[in-house]
Amino acid sequence: MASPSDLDSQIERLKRCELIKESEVKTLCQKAKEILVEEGNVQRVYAPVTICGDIHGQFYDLKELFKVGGEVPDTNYLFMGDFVDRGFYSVETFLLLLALKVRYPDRITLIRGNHESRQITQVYGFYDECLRKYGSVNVWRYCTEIFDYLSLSALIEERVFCVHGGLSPSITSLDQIRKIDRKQEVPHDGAMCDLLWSDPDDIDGWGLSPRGAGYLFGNDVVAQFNQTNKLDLICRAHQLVMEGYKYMFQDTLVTVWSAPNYCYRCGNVAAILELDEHLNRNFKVFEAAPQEARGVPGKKPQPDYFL
Amino acid sequence: MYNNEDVFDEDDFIFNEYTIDDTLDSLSRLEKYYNSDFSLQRLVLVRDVYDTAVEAGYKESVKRLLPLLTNFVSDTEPVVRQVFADQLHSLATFFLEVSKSLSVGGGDSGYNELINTFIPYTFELIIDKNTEVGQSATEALVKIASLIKREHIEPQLLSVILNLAHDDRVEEYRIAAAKLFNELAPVFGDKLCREVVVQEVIYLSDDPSLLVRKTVSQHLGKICNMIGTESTVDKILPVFMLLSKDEIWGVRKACSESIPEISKCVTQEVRATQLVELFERSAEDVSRWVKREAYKQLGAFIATFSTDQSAAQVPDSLIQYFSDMAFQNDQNESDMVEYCAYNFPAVVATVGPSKWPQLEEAYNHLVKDAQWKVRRSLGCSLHEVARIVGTEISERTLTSAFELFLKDLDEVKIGMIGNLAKFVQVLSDDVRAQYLPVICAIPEQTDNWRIRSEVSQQLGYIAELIPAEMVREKLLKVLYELYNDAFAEVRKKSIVSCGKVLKRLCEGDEQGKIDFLQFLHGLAQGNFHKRLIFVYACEFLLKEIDPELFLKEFVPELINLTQDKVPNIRIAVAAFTKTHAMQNETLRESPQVQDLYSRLSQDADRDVKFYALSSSPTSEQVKQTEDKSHE
Repeated sequence: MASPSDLDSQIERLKRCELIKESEVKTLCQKAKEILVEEGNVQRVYAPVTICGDIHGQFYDLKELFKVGGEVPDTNYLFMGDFVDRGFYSVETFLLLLALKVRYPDRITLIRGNHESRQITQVYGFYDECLRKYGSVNVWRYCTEIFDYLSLSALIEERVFCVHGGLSPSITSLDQIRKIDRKQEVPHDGAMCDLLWSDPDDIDGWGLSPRGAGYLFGNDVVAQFNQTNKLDLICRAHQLVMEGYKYMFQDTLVTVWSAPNYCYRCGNVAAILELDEHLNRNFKVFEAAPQEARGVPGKKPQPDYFL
Repeated sequence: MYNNEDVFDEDDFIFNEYTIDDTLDSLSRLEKYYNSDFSLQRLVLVRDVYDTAVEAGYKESVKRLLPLLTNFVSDTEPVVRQVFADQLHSLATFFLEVSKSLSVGGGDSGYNELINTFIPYTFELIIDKNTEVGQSATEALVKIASLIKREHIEPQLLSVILNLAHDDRVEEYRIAAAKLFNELAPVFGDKLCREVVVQEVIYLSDDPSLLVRKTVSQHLGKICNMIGTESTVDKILPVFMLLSKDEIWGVRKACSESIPEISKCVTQEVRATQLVELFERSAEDVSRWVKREAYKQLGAFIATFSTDQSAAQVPDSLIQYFSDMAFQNDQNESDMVEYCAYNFPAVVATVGPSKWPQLEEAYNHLVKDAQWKVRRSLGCSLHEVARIVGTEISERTLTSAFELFLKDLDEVKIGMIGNLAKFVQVLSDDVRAQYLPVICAIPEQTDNWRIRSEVSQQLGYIAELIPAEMVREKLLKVLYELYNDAFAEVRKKSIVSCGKVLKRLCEGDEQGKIDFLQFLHGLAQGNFHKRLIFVYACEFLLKEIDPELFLKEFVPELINLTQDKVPNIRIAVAAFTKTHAMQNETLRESPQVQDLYSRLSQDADRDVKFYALSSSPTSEQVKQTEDKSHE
């Protein structure tokens, strides 16, 4: 079993963007599984908490996020999935978040995004990255197995519902989500798929999603869902918003996006949503980490002058 | 993204060729996969080979790991060979140290492996056809050489390099030898360098291959340093002067590059005559590349004129060449301007403030250069130049640079702000007072949190440089804003100043002390972020103020915070109490702090309890470990 000091050492290395050993990943994942298996599909979370959207392997921007929002355990975090794929450091990103989860289970909540899937990661980068960095698919296997254990959503102080994608036509109450058997690869359709794939849109009722999975859902759907479940707000990620966050439907739903300059070329800013102990909302908008903060680990930067 | 016809199939996820049996220990894993067809697998095995040896222990490693290493020396994939070269020193050290401690074979068996296995492998990789592999192996050999016993240096090391140097067929061998003679000069020592290495280098300097001559020109400094001034002037300098007139420009450029290194090892007279002539010749060379290289090295060359006296005698011609570089932008030579800015502090330090009039025009031109990198370099070194030229010149000329950089791009501004207090320290009291409002306005004039963070870290030091009354009147307002900044990192960096600020106010401004204490109590009773930053403040307050004052003012607040509903606050209180309060003699003995500590160690939250009870390292120890890992 990994002791706090082992974990602290792993966290320190991961924070420097160094890989931990395959055997350490294996132990870490075993421990993570024990913690995650106890969590509900609608994980209860307490305020104050800081809500974050997609990260997509942008490790140095995740470090930037922690500078903006505070380090764990100073700040409690809820990450709404899509930790991996696209960026250059999916392995370090996911393992850092997972190590923090194991070290501080009550301080950080991780829920599943549509990229936390065997099939998707084979296409969008995480699989190749694991192979490149560890010389085998073992680490990818350990991680994708953990993906199956990640919770599907979170509920903050009974008022704010957080999910990666959105709502599902087969779900009207939170209790229906609680009954899903989530420990599986993300299915192609059904409630679990929709929670991870759907998008809000300016339509009435439900619409077909151009993504080929999940649905589009309108203002009326959100109003009904929030009323039924006594919610103030739905918080979700899944869609790039250039301003970092975007309210819809008279502020009953908000998209939070936490990968600045997405794919290193979109030019967007990122945001996190801080909820204080009274659920007051405070968005913090930030930019991608500057070049000098993306240094080669352990390498001293060039001096600026000679004396 | 999903294709509905593409049915999920468990069989899709069997990747036998990329799977490694994770039930094997790392040595068995190495044995099973060292010749895998999948080169990434070999790469990872090589990357971890040191850890594998440590895990397996000496005996098993000798028996099972050592025999496999030859495969990596001849691996088809260059990057595998390179990573193996990177591992050679730590592996060799492992075998050496462990065999000593176990007294295996009289303690010598690890040393025998060094001589008979690791050194031959290293040489094999040094002459690898891939230059990166060769480079890594050369670096490895320099480190490994320090493990070799004195009596084996000549037969096991020097003789092999001599064979390389004497190989007339393969120029790469002679190139490798030319590098190694210099890199290993400290290992060879004075005697071998004088008796053997110098003649060999002289011989190679006349090599028919231009690449060999170029390599020699670039690799003389350590040899010169070893043989001393007299021999350098007698033996190396004539060869160097000949090389600097080589018909091939690449060789001449390499000589330009070496001027500062050679200059460090010659007499002041030779430096001021022959080397200055050589520089001037290079600066007028027909080849643009030779010219640029000479100018690039000029600052470092001038710095070698520095003597024990405060100011050195630098030929004025060199100062003129140097200040001319600042104006090369007009000739489309933007690199020159960069080199000039980069070396400016070293040159000012060498020639001293008395020569400032000869450099001032160049400096004033540089601060307005179109390239931001030039201005950034000057911004970063402003405090150094100010320190060297002193208060009067700084106030007359550098303050205008300061004002310009404050309005400049963030990249420039932030470099200067990082040493703001040191710059302010050079200024007189009046000028300090004049610039204080400008400095205090920096945070509100930016939306870049890094700038706020940098300036906030300077304010504590600036508080020590100004009267306490001025701290209250000018500084407190901006400090309050920074302590409540929207960004966590700014709050955490800025709060560091609170101890110095309170101390300064306690020394000389009663009203300021009252105001600041009131503000700190306000933090302790404010919202989540304020309460958290209050707990952080405690560490820095305790460092600077009387423990009795701390006990009276702040410990009651901390005791209150042990009841805080937010666990994160209690975690911070626990960490502070354990690592700081309980380490302070006065506090540790006080019943209040003991009460504080016992409340925390019984907290219901596991994280609070952990921080209260753990023997977690102090931040100082953590910092030391971090510094180590960065070396």
